[in-house]
Amino acid sequence: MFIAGCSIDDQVLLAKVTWLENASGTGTAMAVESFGFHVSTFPIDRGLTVGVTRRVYFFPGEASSLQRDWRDFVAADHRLRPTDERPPPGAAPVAVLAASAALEVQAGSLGGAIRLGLGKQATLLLPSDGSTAVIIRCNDRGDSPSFALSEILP
Amino acid sequence: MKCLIAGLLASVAAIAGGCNHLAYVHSAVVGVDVTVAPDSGTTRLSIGYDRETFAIVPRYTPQDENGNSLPAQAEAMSLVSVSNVDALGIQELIFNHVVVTGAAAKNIAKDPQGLKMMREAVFGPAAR
Repeated sequence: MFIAGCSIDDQVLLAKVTWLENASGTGTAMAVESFGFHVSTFPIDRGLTVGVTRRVYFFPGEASSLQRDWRDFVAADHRLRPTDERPPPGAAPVAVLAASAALEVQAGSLGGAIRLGLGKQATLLLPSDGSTAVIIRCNDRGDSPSFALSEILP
Repeated sequence: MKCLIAGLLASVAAIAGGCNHLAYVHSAVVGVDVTVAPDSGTTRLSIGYDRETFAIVPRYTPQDENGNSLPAQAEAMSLVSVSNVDALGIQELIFNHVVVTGAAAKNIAKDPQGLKMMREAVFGPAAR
């Protein structure tokens, strides 16, 4: 459902925002649906969207910094479910899935872009240091996404 | 109009930073798409339908015992990943990845069972 309005990250006036979290606390997500203006200050897609957009931002969870055994991590169920919990202030998403019918002006970590029309973008952006594992499974069919990020025992 | 577009592109290029991240990207657009690469400053214009899927693996520059960079020994960062990106035009997108970096990647690369588990996490239990 789209509601007319505008949004800045998760600060919305009349947009719909849904929060999601996996059971292990290693991943959260924020789904934003807005019609009008959407402003993102996240490094991954910093910019302005004028039109209709649906974006799902994926964040590390509060348990992501704990080191885990690789096999336990990859075998776990990481499906995201609705929650009232939110990432800590200042948390930056590591992935975004976006679908828009809009004018977009972006200046994110991967460069700048100006788009006019229908667009669909998916980006996963990870730091180049550390010993990290990420699982992301998402689509725009409406299926529940899976996401988790964790430090892994070397 | 040309001045407006040139000004917008210059502003966008100035705001966008360089990329020192591991990145997996899919983008599909029907319309007008102007992109600026942050490192090279290369500008690309597409009109109509355009789609691209790519990954960026940054280089890792080792340091000696004094903390000095050794650019002659630079190489791609350690990484193991299994990816499945299915796109049906602009209508449908599946974006599945399992990515492991750093020391854990070096260990998993030697572990056939671990690699199989990665594949199953992306493609499902039926994956061989």
